[in-house]
Amino acid sequence: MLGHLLHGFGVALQPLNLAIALLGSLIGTVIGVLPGLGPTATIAMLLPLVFTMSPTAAMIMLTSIYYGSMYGGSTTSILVNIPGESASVITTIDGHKMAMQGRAGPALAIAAIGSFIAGTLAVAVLTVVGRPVASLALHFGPAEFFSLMLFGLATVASLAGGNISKAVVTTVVGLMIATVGIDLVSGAPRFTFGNPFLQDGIDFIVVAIGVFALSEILVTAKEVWAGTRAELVKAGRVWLSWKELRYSLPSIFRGSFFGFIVGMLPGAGATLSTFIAYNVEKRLAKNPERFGTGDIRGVANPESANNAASGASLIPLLSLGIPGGGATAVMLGALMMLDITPGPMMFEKHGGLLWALIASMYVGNAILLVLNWPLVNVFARIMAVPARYLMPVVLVISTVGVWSLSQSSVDLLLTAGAGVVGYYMRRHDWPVEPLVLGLILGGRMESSYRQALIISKGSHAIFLEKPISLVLLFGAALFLALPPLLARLKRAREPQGALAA
Amino acid sequence: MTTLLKGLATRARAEGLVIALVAAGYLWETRSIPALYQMPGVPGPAAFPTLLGTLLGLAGLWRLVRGASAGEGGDADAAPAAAGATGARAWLAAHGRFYGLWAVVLGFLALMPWVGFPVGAAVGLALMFRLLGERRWPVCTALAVGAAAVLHVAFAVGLGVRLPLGVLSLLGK
Repeated sequence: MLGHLLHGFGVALQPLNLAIALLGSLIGTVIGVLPGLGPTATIAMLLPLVFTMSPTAAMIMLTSIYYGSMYGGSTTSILVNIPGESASVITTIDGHKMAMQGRAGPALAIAAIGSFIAGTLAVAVLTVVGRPVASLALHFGPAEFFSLMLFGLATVASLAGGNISKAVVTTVVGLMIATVGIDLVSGAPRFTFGNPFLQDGIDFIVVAIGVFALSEILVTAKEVWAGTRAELVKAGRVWLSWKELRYSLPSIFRGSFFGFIVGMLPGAGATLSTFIAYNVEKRLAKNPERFGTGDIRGVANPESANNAASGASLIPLLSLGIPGGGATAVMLGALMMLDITPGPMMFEKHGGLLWALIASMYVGNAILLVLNWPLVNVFARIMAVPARYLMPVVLVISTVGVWSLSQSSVDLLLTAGAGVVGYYMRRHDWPVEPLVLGLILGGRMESSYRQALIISKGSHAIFLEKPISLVLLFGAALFLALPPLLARLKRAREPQGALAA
Repeated sequence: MTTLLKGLATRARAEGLVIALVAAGYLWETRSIPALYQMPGVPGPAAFPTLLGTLLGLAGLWRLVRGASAGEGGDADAAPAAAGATGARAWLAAHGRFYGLWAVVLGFLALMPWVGFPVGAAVGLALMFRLLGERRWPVCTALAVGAAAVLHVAFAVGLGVRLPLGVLSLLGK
């Protein structure tokens, strides 16, 4: 194995391949930083570039773009509170708060460092246990997947603290939006009202830009008028302190672990891993109340999870031919166009390419860190532009992101509607994140639910009979029930404490 | 009696009513989903939506009956809204910019496909700059036209996004 890996490094470190990795990371970061243009859109846009290249160079280019755009997506989450892609939704919670406090530099830096450490760990694990682990992932059937998605949604809903009922409502609304379009199992059109543009369903970007970007411009405007805000984020320290890095390291390692575990499950993707990792981190923390107020661990943990999951998602893609998410699905398409069919025989048939790819992922992670360190400074300077100029431009760029999906005026109208609802939600403390996650996971969750019931011939007992599924369902119930119970206990104790005092 | 009604008509209850109505409409629409290739004894394309609609309906009714839960705040913004309403001019002075910005943002999203990206973005940006506090119209216009042109070139030429030209396409004819 070491010999194969060394040979892979020999290929990845060739000047041309190194230049391709650098170019891919740079293009990916620059496009990924534009709100609304996530990794899937970035890879899809740049796909024509790779067809003139050799398969090895093409794969190095694609993975570099993928990694770069994932990092770019986090930048918009931190700086303008608009997630560039679904896996960065959770980063908005603490990342943007840090930026508002004048700590945009440390937030961006820890995202880059966390991504580097997690990405490198993921690639190391992928190198050593990639093949055996891939077969383990096959133990996850439809029932387990449904329960995993439910578990993910429950963890997000429980983040709402005292507002669990509101979080449940917004989660269900997200799942309902996901049911719009052609039903993938039967082909029946649902909630399309005869409009052909709705047959493909409603993309996550359409809703996310509405609830995050549109509401953000209105919230910013109110603060600009009130004179409490001149820039989008406060100018402040650009560099990360040693103390902050040391404080974040355990969160980075825990995020990497959960990101890898969830990310390698085919179909689970990086998004779910970030939500689960963040929630577990919050539960394990000595001072969980700091999460959501601009705690650096709230950036380090999901960013590490997101990158570890990105690396791990290549396991099912390369060894089973199952993409872990939208971006890896586009990469699968690119591989097939290059006449490479991923699957169990991938290591035997295209071993040279695969080891070169794994080695280039190591190199790509290092390039991203080196590349992003000076970029932190650039982004911090851009943010010094007054909010009254910058925010409208961000909104117009976000609109282009929505338009680029399918050039549909219906998408823009839906974004407008989502903006109105999103503003109301933010104003009246309705959590937005569960709505977005419900929308992202809804399609896969329903397919798993129905596939499980097809296997069990309509019996819901299948979800309780499978041990992994049962544990996940129990965990979901625990996550939903515990916060309100603990809050009630706390309220019951408070008067006694006051009396005692 | 009026006090009792006021006590009952809270924002939380109004939200509950809206949620319940949305759920009812969703469930009603679920009935029109065709049961294509329905396997006997296995849930069809309407099963999951029915489950979701029922859940949302129950959550809406719960909120309608119970009102706000203990962990939530009250109607914090109700008082300022009522206090500010002393005639149309006063209302306009207090809220004109806010609703004006909403109108520009929503108008841009609704009209951009027809007006075209370059013109729509330039007009939208100029109005937004102005509403957000830039008082000089020439600065608003110059910045907006420049930004719209740069964005159009970057996306349409650089990244190959098919942006609508709208009214500008008429000039070429």
